[in-house]
Amino acid sequence: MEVHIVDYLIIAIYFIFVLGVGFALRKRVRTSEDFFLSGRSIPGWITGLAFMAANLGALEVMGMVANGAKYGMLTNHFYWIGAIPAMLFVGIFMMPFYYGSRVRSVPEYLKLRFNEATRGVNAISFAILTVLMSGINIYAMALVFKLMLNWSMDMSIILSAGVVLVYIFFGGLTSSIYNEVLQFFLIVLGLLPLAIMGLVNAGGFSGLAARLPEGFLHTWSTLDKASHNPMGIEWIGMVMGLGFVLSFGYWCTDFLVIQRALAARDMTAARKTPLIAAVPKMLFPFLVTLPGLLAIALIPKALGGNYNLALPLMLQRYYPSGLLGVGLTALLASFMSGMAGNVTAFNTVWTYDIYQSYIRPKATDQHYLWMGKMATIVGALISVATAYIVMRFSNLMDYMQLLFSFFNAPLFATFLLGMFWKRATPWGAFSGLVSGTLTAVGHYLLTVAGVLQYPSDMAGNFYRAIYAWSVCFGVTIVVSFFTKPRKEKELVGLVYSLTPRIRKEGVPWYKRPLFLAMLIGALTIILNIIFW
Amino acid sequence: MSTGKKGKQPGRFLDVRIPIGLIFTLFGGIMVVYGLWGGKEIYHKSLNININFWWGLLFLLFGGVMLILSRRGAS
Repeated sequence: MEVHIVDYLIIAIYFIFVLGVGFALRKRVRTSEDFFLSGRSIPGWITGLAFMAANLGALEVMGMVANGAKYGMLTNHFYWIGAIPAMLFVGIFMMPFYYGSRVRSVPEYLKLRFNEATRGVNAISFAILTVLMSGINIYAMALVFKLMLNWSMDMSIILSAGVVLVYIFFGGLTSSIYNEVLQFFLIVLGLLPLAIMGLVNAGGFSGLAARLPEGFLHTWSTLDKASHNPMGIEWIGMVMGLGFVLSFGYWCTDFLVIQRALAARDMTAARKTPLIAAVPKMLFPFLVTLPGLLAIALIPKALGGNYNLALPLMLQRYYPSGLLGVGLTALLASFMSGMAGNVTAFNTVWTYDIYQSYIRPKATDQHYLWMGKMATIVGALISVATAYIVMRFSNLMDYMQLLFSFFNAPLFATFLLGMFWKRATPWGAFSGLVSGTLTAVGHYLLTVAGVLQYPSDMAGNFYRAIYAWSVCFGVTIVVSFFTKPRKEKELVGLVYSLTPRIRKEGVPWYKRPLFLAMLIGALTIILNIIFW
Repeated sequence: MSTGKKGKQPGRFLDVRIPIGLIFTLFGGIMVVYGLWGGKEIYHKSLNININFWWGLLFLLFGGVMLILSRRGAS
């Protein structure tokens, strides 16, 4: 691989900038709320892009290009059905409760709505999940450094985790969010030439279609039977498993993304955060699925079935020195934004929901700020340890879906009932959440043992999510009828039917979140029809 | 829980458009210079297009727009 001084120069400038942003913000961090929630003062467009970028880790970029090469345009479902509807839902229907109740984290909402036990289960499982996810990012980053720059894995892991650690340590969530916006633009503008040049080289869409296996350019037409598509799934599993349970479970309850919206400066900015993020999300398949398809069409020999390397190999093939530095920076930016998102979510949940709740409840704010900084260091260290675990899985995305189906899938049932059914009781929620998670674990063990069989790991993940969600939903309802609900006056601002509607008379209709959401929904439907 | 801070406080927070504008201007400048004076044989990879020069120009434009927006102070 020819990497020249100019490429190293570009990468070095990038490192200086991300560290510089953290350093410039260090004096603005005075209270724990500054560190964990940016003092709730950020404009909507910034939190929106950060919301998008925090989810753009190794998984989105390397993993989705890998999926593009492996599954073709079925990968687009992770965006058009697996993200957009849930992002619109969280912005329109759920954000009023998250932001309006002034909670500092997702587990804290569960404490206010249900009880301490439900929060505890969620806080602990979430803390584990985030550091595991963070490990995926570090691993993917180290892999690229090794492949393209021939650095040792150990050194890349320490360097990449170290930079993220430093800028969060100094600037907290604000530093993470500002860098995520910077990283977002670097990712988009750094990867765009790849899709353009690849498409030109393939001879446009028609030229690309001629070089691909049949059905690779379709999103829905091969979903009539599991045997008709490489993912081994039919439309009902896709819509219910990915489109409903996994997608809503992630976008509506994962504190990693919700935290960005909580940092917004007012309710409108908070509600618009996921909606603004949905615009680039809708278009992202052209930046990730497309290079994956191009890799299969243009460099099948170099690829040799090693899908995870599709993106680095394409960069190697099409990017000359100079632009190559920018491309590598885009990859670094994606890994860092993903890891920073996880670390900031981890330090907040650890400090507020575990440390402050169970270990040391009545300390000063300065003590919690200090603890947040320590949690940042420890979180980064655990992530590094996790990076070595990730090396055992062949497809990063499958690994990710596995974890989500354990934790997020049942959680969405808890939130849905919590926010929209005032009769849901604390112990109903707790038993539902625990039984849902156990269902997922049990289902996974049965799959590993061979008792349950699915055409692909992905299909297994989707169905595991459906079962975990259904069990949580059912158990919560049944137990709720036998246990005592909380008093209605305690639930004002937390449950839909007990909270006054937001009325913004002064804002014209085209500036309202609902209109924005409908517009994005309509465009997404059009994209689905075009690539049917 | 909350300290009750609301609304934008001018000057209290760094304008994120400044670092974005600066980094893209810097990257764009490097790419344009490298595209003009660096070796040309590397462009067989990029389909014989001097991609550094052209994409560098785009970066300069984007960086410039970000810097102008930050000077205007509108968010």
